[in-house]
This record gives sequence, C-alpha cells and structure tokens, in this order.
Amino acid sequence: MTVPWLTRVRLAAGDLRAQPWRSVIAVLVLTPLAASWFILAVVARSLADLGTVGEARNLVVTEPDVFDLANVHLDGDDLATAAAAAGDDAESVTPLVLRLVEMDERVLQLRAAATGDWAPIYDLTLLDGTVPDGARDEMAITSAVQVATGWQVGDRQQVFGTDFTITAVLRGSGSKVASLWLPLDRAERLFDRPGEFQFAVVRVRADADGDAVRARLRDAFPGRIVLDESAIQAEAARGVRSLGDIAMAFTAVGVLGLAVGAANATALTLAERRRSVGLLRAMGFDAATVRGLLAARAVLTSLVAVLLGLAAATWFVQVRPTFVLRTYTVSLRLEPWVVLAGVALAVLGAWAGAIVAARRAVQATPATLVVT
Amino acid sequence: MTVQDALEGRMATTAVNSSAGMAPAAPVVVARGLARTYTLGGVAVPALRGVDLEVAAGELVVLMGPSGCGKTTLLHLLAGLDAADDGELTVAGVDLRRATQRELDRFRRDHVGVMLQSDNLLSTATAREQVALQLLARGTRWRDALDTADVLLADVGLAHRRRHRPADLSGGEQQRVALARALAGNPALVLADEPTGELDSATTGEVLGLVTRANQLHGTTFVIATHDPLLAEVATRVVRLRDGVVVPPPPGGAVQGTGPS
Repeated sequence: MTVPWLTRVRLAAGDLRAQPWRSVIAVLVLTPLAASWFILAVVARSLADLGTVGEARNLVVTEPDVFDLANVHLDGDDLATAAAAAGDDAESVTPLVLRLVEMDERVLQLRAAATGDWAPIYDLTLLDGTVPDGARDEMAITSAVQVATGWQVGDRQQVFGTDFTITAVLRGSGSKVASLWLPLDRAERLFDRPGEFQFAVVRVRADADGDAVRARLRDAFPGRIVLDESAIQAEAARGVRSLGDIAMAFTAVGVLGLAVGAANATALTLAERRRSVGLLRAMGFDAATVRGLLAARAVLTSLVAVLLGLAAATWFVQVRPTFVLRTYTVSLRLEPWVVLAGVALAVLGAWAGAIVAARRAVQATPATLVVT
Repeated sequence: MTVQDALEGRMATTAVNSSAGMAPAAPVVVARGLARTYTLGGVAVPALRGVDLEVAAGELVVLMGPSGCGKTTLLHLLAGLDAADDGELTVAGVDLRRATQRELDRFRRDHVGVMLQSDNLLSTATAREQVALQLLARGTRWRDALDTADVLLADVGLAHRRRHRPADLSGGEQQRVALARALAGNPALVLADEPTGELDSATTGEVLGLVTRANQLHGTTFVIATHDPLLAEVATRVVRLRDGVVVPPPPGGAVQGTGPS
C-alpha cells in the first residue's frame, strides 16, 4: 500500500504537535546546525568569487627603510630611471605617496595617487559617493575602513591637522584594503613636498616578462628595493580561496551532522515507540510504509529547522554584509541556489538518516514490538 | 447495554438460528497441531504444544486459562503477528504458515482487527485518527477515513471524544476506541487480548455490550483471550488452555474446541 505524501506530512505534523515541547527542542537543536551551514556556504561562495589579480603586474620601487615612510624620498628622476629600465614592457610608471596616520586609535595607510590611476593601476572600485576633488579638502576611504570605523560619506575627519570630508567609499584589496586615499596633488600640498613620493609604481604589461623587468629595475636602483606587489597579492588570494575550500568542506560536514541528528532523533523515537511501531504493523502497515511515516516526521522537523536557520543566516548577512579576511574585503550574499541546495540537502539528509535508523527496528516481528 | 442484556440477546439469537435450521458457516480459523517455542536466556520455553482450533464465522470464542498458558501466543499467531514453529494455520482463507512477509502485511490489513492486552492506542494520535489510520491501511482515503472514523466512534458512544488523545481518555474509553479501530473496515476476524483486564465492572459491561452487539448485529467473528468470567458468559464457545494445549471439556460441559489432552 502507498500512503500519499500529503497524508504522511499531515500525520507527521500531528505527531509533532502532540508533543510540542519535544518537537521544539528537536528543532532548536538542529537550527544552529542549519544556520551555520548556510553561513559557511555563503562565505565559501563569496571567497571563491575573489578574483585573481589583474593580468598586468605591479612592481614597486622604494627605499629599504619602508618602516619610516617619512624618510623615503623618491622624485621625478627616480620615475624617469624606472621608466627607462622598464622600457616598453611597462604600461605606466606613476608615483604613489604613502604615509601612516593614527586616527581613532587606529593606524591607517594614507595613500595618494592621481585619481585617474586609482582604477587601472590600484584596482580601486568606487562603491559610494564621488571621487575626491584635488582642489578641495576631500578624501576617500576603503570599505574595510568604513566597516571598522563606521565612517560614512559626508563625515569629516582630521588628517595631519587638516579636516577632510569623506566623499567616496572604495573597494580595495591586498595591501590597499584598509586605507585612506587622496588625490596626489592634494597630498603634495598637505605634506608641503611637491614632487616627492614614497613608491614608484611600474605597471608591467600582461604580455611582458615581469621577472626580467624586475631584474632590470634592481640593476637600475642598486640602493633601493623592488617589490612584486602582484605576486604578494596573488599568494594572499590563493590562501584566502583555500579558506573558502575549507568552509565548503565544513558544509559537507554540516549535512552529515544533520543526517546523523535525524538518525539519532529517529532512533530515540523508535526506542520509545517500539510498541507504536508494532501497533502500526498490527494494523497492516508494511515495514516500508512505517519507515516512510517515521522519515516524514524527521524530514518535517529538519525542514522547520532549516527554514529557521535560513532566517538566522539571512539576518546575519544583512547585519554583516562584508568582512575583512587578511587583506581582502569579502562581500556576503545569499544566492538562491544556496538556499535551494540547503533545503534539498536537509531534506535528503534527514530522510536518509531516519530510514537508516528505522530500517532495522521496523523489521523486527510485530509480536516482538507489541510486547515491548 | 449491560452484560445481562448481552446474554439475553445472545440466547435469543441462538434460538432464532436454531429454529431457522441455518447451515453452519465456513470456519474462519483452522489450526492443526499449532506449536510455538520461545528461547529465553538460552532456555527453550514452549508456549504452544500442539493446538487444534476451529472457529466458525460469526462465533464469539473465548480463550481462558491461567497466565502463561499460551493465550496471547495463540492470538499473536492467529493475527499473523508471529510465526508458528509447527502445525497448520489458515485464517480467513490465508495459509499463514506459508505466507510471505508481504502477504502477512496484507492479511493483517484486510482480514484482521486487533485489540492488544494494554496500551492499545498510538500515544500521539487522536481517537478519530486512531480509527482512521486503520481505514487508511485498508485503502481508504484519509479524508474519507476520518469521516468513517467519526461514525464508528459514534457507534461506540465516543463522538464527543473523537478529538482527544489517549492521555485524555479513560481506560474504558481507550478500549472503546481500540474496538472501533479493530472493527473498522469490517474485518473477517477480531482478536482481543484481555480487553477488559484493566477495567472496572461498569466499564467492562459497556465494552462487553459493544462486543456482543458487533457479534450479533454484524456477525463479526471474535476470538478473545481473557480471565474475565463475564466474557465467558456471553461467548458462543469457551476454549480452555493449559500449558500450551487445549483442555478437553468435562463430560456434559460447555462446547469448546478439540485438542490433545
């Protein structure tokens, strides 16, 4: 005989309603598991989306004493030397002012470059507001700074004794993740050092041999150091993406935990209800139907827990839409396929766990079950 | 209906049947040399040691005997809940000794109603759901099963309690629900194990009245295991068991099944 699915659900719901507190406890035990699964899946998905560094490569020429940036002085002659060494292998050679500034008990990087270079060279993306005007006391902050400080577009903050208005929020990554940005000309006026900067940034063409360019730059600047910013960033990205793989692995553990939880709950139910199972067999329900009725109960419980877990995860993503991991700003988003996958896996896991737990118990003879 | 009423009704029916010269109905139960042995702690315990029993359609047979004589074991075998080790057993035309598990499930579903010794009901189902589940097992759609369950519960005087769960029902009410469930779908045979064992005399009378009414009005065949002498008074036949065998009746005593002495 086949009991229709809707009838199974009705019977399972009635069974759960008959023991409300027990059902609530079962749901509450599974809900954190479900919520953590969704959050892990969202994090894993978001980390996997972290793009590789652009194909072009940034080489940075600076002085060895980078810990005291105030003593690093590069100028136009250094730019020319770098451009000559890089030759046609460079897309551009541009200056970058870099200082450390203490604000709100935090040490932040203050970077300044021509606003036209922000996107193509430094991979900055405008998230909110407008690019600062170099003629005014305006600056931009990265989203990581915004998350950490709560500063918004329109706020005013003092930088090296001057009040600046925040006009933009940018997405930065790598070493630029938590930084303030000024137009280059405004920074030169702020520090009263026109034409002086700390980094000469060589943007190597994608089809060029970056290692060869790096070697030529080292030869051209014997007293200075040449850093491969892109390689450092790529290594960090690989590490971050591997964390995403770990998060995804934990989601698999989560599904297993849900199945085990369902099996355990079903086993407990069976232990207490051997006689009820015997009664159902005595009424003429075959073993498969009884297993199906028990599994429907487990699935319904898991489904409620999954929906509550989904609500918790949705709230989490809304409250914490971004987080900083190493030097990356990760944006969380709950995609429809994650929701569907979570629900489907919960249903399957609960079903499988309950069927496995019920299989052996239900196959006992009805007489054995009813005398329990 | 009181026990006295049930008894008088039984005698009236018997007189009518006798005067009409009705031919005896085909047996619902045919058991020959039925044996069942359990192993407890490595020790073989014979529960039945060769029982012969025939139950005709429409009979109300009462099995009596001391505790441990094999009454419950016999009922379990007749219901297909357990399997005999030896002998022949046919119930409602189904050879239970040779039936597969699937055939036994179908047998229980289609031919037998069962009232167990205690805890007869599912703890989380309401009275109407208890009865409806039996009808569902017998192929009735759930909505129709609930409606029919309401009718059956009204027949046993529990229409006003149909939405209550066992914890909210008295012992007598639980047994009435169990009876309604056992009768749902008009099975060929209803098996009851100590249906009045935990009831007071007044409630016992109520349950007995329902049993005899089902037997008399609808011709439902009953086999009931009991210690209760009141049940023996309303039975068409009493079969006594002792140590796993049927005890032959004393000369000139009540009619009972045959079996090795």
